[in-house]
Amino acid sequence: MIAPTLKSGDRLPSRVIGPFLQENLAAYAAASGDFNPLHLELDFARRFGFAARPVHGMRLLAAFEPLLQEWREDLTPLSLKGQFLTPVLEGERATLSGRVAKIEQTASGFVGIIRLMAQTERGAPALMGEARMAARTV
Amino acid sequence: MAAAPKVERAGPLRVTTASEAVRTFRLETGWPGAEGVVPLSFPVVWMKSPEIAEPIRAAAEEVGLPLHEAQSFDYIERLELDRSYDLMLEMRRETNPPRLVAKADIHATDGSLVGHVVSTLRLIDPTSVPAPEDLV
Repeated sequence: MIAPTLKSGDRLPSRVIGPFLQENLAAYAAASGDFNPLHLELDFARRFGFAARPVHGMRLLAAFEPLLQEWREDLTPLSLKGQFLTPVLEGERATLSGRVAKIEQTASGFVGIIRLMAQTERGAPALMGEARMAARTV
Repeated sequence: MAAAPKVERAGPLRVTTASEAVRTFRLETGWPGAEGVVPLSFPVVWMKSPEIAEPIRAAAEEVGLPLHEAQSFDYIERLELDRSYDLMLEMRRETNPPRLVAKADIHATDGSLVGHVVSTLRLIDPTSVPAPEDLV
């Protein structure tokens, strides 16, 4: 069995992403196919109570994978999930962070459970999530 | 008694990890370069397929704006570049509160299961939202 190389409490280096400008929102919409007008049209966003266009929540969740991969090249992510809470608005940055919550032993080795969090510039939780990572086999 | 959630199923729906689409997605999601593995979150690109987009559009027309509430990607094997996969879809409408939950099982073309994706969309009635000038 492969010995765990992760420890509970290990922390990802935090990363600031953004600021997200209108062209960034449009470019992500084009790349993902998510053209929800909420993210692209200011008047539409204001009709739903937003002071500015909100950044796609998926843009934040997706940004965790390169962070995880750069942090531990010897591991590979098996899953990624997140719940979108407070929106990050156009013009704002978000801070990504994470911490190893626990290590699970499996028949094929270990799986690290990493708790993920993205915060808005105002310190509100934008996303709470989780990733599972295991030793890279190839 | 509450009505049972409305469930629609579809599939198999053929999708691909075409390298150009993967490159574009990597560049817009913070990867250091365009070339490399298919991101775990790449399947969101497949949500624009009519089989997925149409029930979302219909729910939005009936109830209101679909707002992404939660998302998960869970893999048995990583997606590979320039491959075809088949999605088996289940779209479930919940009413209290209004939600659309889209689940997709991802299969390789030999039928083996590769992973699962779940998208949860909250449907927001615009008349229930205060105008921005009413917000503090």
